[in-house]
Amino acid sequence: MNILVVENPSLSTDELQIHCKEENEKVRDIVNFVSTEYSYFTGKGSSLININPMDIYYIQTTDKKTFLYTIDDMYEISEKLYQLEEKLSKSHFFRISKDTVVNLMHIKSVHPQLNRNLLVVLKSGEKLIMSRRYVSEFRSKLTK
Amino acid sequence: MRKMFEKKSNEKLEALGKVLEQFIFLYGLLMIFALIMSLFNGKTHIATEGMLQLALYISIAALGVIVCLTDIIFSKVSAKLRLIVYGSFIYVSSFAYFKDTAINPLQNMTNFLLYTGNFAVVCAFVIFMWTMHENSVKKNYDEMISAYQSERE
Repeated sequence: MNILVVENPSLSTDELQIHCKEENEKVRDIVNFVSTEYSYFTGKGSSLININPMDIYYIQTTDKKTFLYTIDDMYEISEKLYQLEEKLSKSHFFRISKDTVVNLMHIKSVHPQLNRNLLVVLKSGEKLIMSRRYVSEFRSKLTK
Repeated sequence: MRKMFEKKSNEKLEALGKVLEQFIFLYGLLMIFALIMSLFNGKTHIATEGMLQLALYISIAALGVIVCLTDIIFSKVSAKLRLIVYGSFIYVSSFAYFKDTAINPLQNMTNFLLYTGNFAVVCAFVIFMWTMHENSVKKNYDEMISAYQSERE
């Protein structure tokens, strides 16, 4: 892929054009990534945290606090889980329970449980529980 | 095409399941009504002993489903632990159930060992069936996940 940056002082705002053979998932990911709203999260004390959403493994709410987990870091952010779910809805994030949203690209395997919930094992080795009420939606998201 | 066929099959299975469910519900309702009438009138409209026995089996099965397969109670206790507790309860309470029969497990050591052996075989079979089911579901999900991820990488 060729990357070209052209400076143009006459522009009032920054502009980005992507020339591609066809608009596929990879292109859409790039579009999502460069969009400021998409890759910036409001941290504790209104500080901005810049994370590539593709690096996020999962987002979880514990004791009314929202935490964002990457492979080796954890960030506390001030945005609510439903706001993040909405913000990341065009990407690979999927709600698996009332307090967790997971990145589908980092799921390693899924195991059924006796109570019809699913045990989601991430590539990092962490285990999360998917509530049974989200299972059918999960299946349809995977097969879409 | 395959997906459409699977969807249609699932819909048909769902509809069939609903019909069966309604039939069992209606049949059960009628049986319970007949049983209550029999107990109140003191007359035997139906074989009450059999019905009571059936009600006992259904209650044990329902208790098992509620304790092991749902989150209605003990939601913080793991499913495996709940299953072990339920299995132990069945094992111990079945001693009382078979007390007056020829296979009374508490009569002698041979009966006890035979009964325990049979119980262990049933448990092993259930565990084997569950493992088969778990592996098949896991394989199915793994295929879907790897297809999803490779399409988007």
